[in-house]
Amino acid sequence: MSETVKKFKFFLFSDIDKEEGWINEQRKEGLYLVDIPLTSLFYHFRKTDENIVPVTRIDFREFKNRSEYLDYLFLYEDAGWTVVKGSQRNGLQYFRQDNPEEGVDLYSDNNSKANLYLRYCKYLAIMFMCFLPILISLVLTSPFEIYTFKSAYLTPGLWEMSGLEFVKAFAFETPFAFFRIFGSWLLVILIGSNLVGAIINWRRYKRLKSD
Amino acid sequence: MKRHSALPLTETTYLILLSLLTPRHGYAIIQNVESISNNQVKIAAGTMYGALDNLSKQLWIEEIKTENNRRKVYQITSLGIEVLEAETERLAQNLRLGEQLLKGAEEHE
Repeated sequence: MSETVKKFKFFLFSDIDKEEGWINEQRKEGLYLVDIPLTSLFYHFRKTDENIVPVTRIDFREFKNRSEYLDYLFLYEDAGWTVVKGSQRNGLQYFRQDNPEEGVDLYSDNNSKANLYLRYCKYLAIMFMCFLPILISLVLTSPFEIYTFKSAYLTPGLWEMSGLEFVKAFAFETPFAFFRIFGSWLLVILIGSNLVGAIINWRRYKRLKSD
Repeated sequence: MKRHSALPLTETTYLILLSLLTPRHGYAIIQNVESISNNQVKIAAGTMYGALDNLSKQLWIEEIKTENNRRKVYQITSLGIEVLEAETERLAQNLRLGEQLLKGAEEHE
């Protein structure tokens, strides 16, 4: 049993094609996906010396009840797809095909593949609409604020100082200012990425549907 | 005569409905469709799951409760048979038309 090769990769935007593409790129080194302990950050691979390297595909689907989810897993398993990561409510389902034919995919026609993008788009849009009011209400009720460079420095009268006094005060506060800027923008970016992801998937859906 | 509103069906839908004249579970449908289409139509897992979902919602197929089987078994409904017969007639008409006109074109050359 070969060791686990761990790789770190950050995908800001929810882009199935990109993530799949990167995961399957690793096949050139004989690596196939075995686990994802932290969604979209750490990927665990294993190496194979065989000529045929398993292919990974990502599906998106949510299930109302356990029996639907199990039925889905059985169907995919019968068709040769092993679960790498996924759950009934999480939505993203990662599968691996151990003896893949060239270009094997979860979808065999444009219509059903388009619907995959539509499902994911709807999910991301809902995520965005849920978090946006939270962000807005946070901004409206201080002390939370989306900081710019100047406003992140809270020392009163800082910008009126000069010389050594200014340098000392500025240097002291810089780490705190950095965290204020970083923290508030991180929140904006994470919430906004849902919107961008929704748009990306909507476009893919539209393009495939019109073919 | 007014055409059934659901027509035309896609080839995948048509073959799945034909396959479900006999009760089957998901993967068995995939295998059966491949076989009856002479290996022309290979439905992938995701496409099949979506199709079963849609056809169930349209009430053209239904799930049969079975005792032991952990996999869901499906079967065509009477509404599904109605659609199937209408589509088969439509295909037959187009087939007759095609054979007729192509033969006519041949004779003129």
